[in-house]
Amino acid sequence: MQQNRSSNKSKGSFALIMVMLATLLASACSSGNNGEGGASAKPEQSSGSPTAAATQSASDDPYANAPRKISISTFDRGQVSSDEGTYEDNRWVKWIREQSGIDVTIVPVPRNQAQDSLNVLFASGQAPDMVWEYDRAYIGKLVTQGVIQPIGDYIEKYSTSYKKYLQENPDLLPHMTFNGEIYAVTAKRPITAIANHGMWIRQDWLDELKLERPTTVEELVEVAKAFKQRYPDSTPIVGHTTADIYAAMFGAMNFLWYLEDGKMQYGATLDRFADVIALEKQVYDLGLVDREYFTDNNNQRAAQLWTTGKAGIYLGQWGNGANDIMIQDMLANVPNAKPEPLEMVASKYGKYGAYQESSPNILVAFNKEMKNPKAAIEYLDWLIDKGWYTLAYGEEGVHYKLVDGVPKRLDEDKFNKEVLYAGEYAVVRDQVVKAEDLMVMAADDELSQRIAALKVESLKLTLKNEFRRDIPYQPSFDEINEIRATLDKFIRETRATAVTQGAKYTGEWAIGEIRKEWDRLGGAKAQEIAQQWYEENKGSF
Amino acid sequence: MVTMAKHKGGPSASARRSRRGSLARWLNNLLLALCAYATLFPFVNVIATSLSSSRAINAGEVFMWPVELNFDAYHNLIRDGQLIVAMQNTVLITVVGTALNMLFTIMAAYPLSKARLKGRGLMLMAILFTMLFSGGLIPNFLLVNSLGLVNTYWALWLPALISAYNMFVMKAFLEGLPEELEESASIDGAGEFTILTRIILPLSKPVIAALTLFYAVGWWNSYMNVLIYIRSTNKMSLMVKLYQMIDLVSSELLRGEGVTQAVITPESIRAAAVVFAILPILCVYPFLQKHFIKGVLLGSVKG
Amino acid sequence: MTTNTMPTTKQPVGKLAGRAPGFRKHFSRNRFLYAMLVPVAIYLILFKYAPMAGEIIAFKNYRLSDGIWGSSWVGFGQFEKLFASRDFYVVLRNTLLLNLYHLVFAFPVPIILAILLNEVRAEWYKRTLQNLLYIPHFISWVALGSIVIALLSPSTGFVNSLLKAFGIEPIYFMADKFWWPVSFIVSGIWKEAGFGTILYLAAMSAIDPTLYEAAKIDGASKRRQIWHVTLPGIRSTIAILLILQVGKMMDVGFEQVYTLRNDAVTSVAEVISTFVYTRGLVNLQYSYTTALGLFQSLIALILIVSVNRIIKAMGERGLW
Repeated sequence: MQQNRSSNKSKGSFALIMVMLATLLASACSSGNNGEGGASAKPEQSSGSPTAAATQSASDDPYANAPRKISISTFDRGQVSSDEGTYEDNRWVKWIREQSGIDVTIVPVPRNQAQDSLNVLFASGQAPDMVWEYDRAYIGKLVTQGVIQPIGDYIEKYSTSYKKYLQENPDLLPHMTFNGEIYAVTAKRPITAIANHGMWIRQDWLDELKLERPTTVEELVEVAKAFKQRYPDSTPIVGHTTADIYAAMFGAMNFLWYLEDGKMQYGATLDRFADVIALEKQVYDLGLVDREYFTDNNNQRAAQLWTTGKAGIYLGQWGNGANDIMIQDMLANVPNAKPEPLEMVASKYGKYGAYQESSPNILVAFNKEMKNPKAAIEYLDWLIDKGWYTLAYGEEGVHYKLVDGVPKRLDEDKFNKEVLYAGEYAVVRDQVVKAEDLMVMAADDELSQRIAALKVESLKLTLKNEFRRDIPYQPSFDEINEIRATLDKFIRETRATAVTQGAKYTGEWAIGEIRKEWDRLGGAKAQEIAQQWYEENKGSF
Repeated sequence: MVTMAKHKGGPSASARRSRRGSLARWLNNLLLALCAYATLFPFVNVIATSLSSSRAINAGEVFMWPVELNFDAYHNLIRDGQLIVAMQNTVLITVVGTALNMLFTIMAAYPLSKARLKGRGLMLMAILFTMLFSGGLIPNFLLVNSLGLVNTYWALWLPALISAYNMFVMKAFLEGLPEELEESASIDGAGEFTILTRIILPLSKPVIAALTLFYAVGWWNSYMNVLIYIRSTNKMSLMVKLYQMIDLVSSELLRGEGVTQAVITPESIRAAAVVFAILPILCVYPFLQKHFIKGVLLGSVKG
Repeated sequence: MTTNTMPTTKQPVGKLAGRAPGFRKHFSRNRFLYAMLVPVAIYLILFKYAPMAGEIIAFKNYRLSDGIWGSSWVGFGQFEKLFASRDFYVVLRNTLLLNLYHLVFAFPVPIILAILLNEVRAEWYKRTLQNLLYIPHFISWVALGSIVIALLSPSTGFVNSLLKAFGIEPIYFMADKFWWPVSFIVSGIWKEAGFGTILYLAAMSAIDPTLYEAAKIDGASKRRQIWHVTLPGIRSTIAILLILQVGKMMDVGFEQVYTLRNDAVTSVAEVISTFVYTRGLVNLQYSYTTALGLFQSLIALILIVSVNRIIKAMGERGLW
């Protein structure tokens, strides 16, 4: 018995040791193959590292003999049909190579898991030379992870067209800067993609009730009440960005910093924010909004109510395709409806414009292991100078024709099949769209023209009032990001409670809770840091 | 064992019992029918949505029946031809994957179901451990990458050879088979291999059918793995293609992508994609089902 | 040939079976079985245990550029951060609670359904029912979520119309802190119970029909037959599935929660998987999420070992 037990035990520990050895062996193998161990390890690509180049004198061109070859990521959205090819290989990739003179390799990553895919590529040393995202926070993460490099010098030394563009648009610089260095290249969105929030109202209802358009928050509520009275079955106010619109009215977006007498204050802790919640609660209590908007995840109910004519005011975006379709559907369901853009209303704090996106579009970062940054800069120069236009609009005469210098699409289907997917190859663009252009770009039929006219009107009204932005761009630092991770959720929860749980939970109560949570999460420290940042940067505003 | 008890009641009592029995059976059937209807409803709704017009869908008019019937959604999906290729890929992934799964699961479950085997406990603990602990995305990717398997289907099949859960289920089932079968077979001179293939496996048809179905469904629906490990467009699986087509871009992302067209997908196409994803599987399991019926023990030992 | 070493009673694992003299004989006698296990072992070591070394990033501050081995050590730092966040306890509580409800309410349903299905006489009807019952399993939550929400809508939902017919006030199920978990569990049952009958039906089909014959001859009613023949026949299957289910206690399916949750019920709806998702978006914190994963796995291990022990004490065969 003794003998058997000990032999059993030794057998057991022998096996355990084997397993551990094998594990260590296998993981050592995998790390060796991947050049994983530390910053000095290099993947298969060899010759000429950028750091070596920097130590040479500035007059040398270390890249003169390097092959003009770069790789760049792109989002795979499944929009390339098999006739056209693949994201890596199609007519536009060929065109890019011919026209730019640079051997460009496109590395697609699936849109839905883009960040994860890029991360594993970085982890295994296979990430492309240039990597881009819309999400600035992601670029920030890449900086912290140490996989991308500062590019200020490269722009300075090698860029022509982009450098000029940057000089003309210096307000882009802060978005490209992390920890005082430039890490990404970006370009501006056209205004249609920036000022794209707005309100819509049923003019035919206003006409019927002989009401004027509301110009203040109180009037808005009154008009909504009148709608409800006249049409008891309706839901006067619906939308998919309602919270943002209310917040913009009071100049208190919960995630932005504002200035109160030269002091930085976080939006969610402001008194004004209490008013935002109070308004939300008020319209809910008065039955003026959809009681179920919390569970309206895809905004389907809101869209339904609007397009079936059961809503009077819509708070949302005017610019994107979805809105066009909604208007079309509404006019199909209720031919006499007259949806028209409504100007933002004034609150007791002033008349502010609707929320505007920040201006940078795609942010392009440079992989630390990139071999030929000069070629990369040249590619970007070419793109912003000549390349983007064709990639965005197609070939003249084939996909569009020029009308007063504005590209007018010839065939929607042809464009969607042959050109739509190429848009994102143009990671930087010098694209300016004016309001009137929308009319020209739209199709010629009556409905499209009508919708285009409404969009022009929307844009004009949206730009009429200034969206309250006390500082031109927001600080981004770890403390506030950490706080936001928890606070954003808490704010949404508290709002929901305040709005739906009855008279006891007012806007005042909500702001009290939010402030308590802010303090608990270390908001005081964040405020200090923000204040310091403001002091340092206010000179450049 | 059930003892020989006195026959309860007389003939009229048993007649009463059988009347009550058929009433109970009727109720049972009805109850099950209701359950089936409840579970059927979402599917019918999805089919109806896929065949209706956008306008009707947005107006909330579609319930059980298509409104403004049209096949546009399906035309849209099939038009390109890519979906067919994707489906072929998925069939390949599923068939080979499931076969490998079943092979390895049996190879693990059968020996481990023998209590006499030394080291069994250690192995079982080792497998249990893998069910609960895993390295995460990056270590797994690094391993697959170092083996040079990225962008091949082996990157999908090899790491998933055995599902610990399924293995335990099979092992439990095998443990429940009477030992006498094996004993009498080996007395008759049968070797281990013969015992396994001629006796044990045929008896295990129900659990094999069940696990085959589980594995197959898993492969059919695999999404995340394919996204990360498969890079070439022409090797993509059906689920990935479908999800791409319905472009599950949430509104937060849309907001950030103002310039580039995010093509807004009509509900009808989304619904058609769902139908497309389910239909093939629905066609497969009637074939597996017949193994779930009451079986008869072969060559009973009890003489 | 083998009679002297084949015990007819089941030996508990860990003790030597029989009186086999030494390893060599045992290995060679069972070489077929061990041969089968060799590829399995290779698979486990290569594809499961090797990557598991990556778990150590839970004790480091992992950076993509430093790699797994190059990243700096922080000891238990990530865990401290985890336990210091108040959110974490809410999230943990929700995860455990929802799984507990699932165990109590959802686990028995497939068993009952399987029993009912088993009693259906007509084969065609049985097959049709099965086909129908399996369907929701294949529809993803992304598609089902909006259907569930629409069904439970206080204004237009079917459920509330029924309630109205009985004179009950409409309930906003999805936004109510009490009703949300109920809806969560019930919708989960709706989706999975049908498919969950498969294993039980498979087990039932392996029950010796002569047992039923004998019971019938003894005059047992349907109910007693079920109680005395069917249920004991699938007892071990239930036991195994129960243990495996407990092993999943620390995990609540991401998709279902993500599609069904909303701002009004975050305090009861946020679970570990959604917590990781939203936090992961803020900071590329692989180390943090790995630490959380490690914690989850450890608790699951403890739970599964405990339940296994309990089940074995009740006389059933455990997982190992």
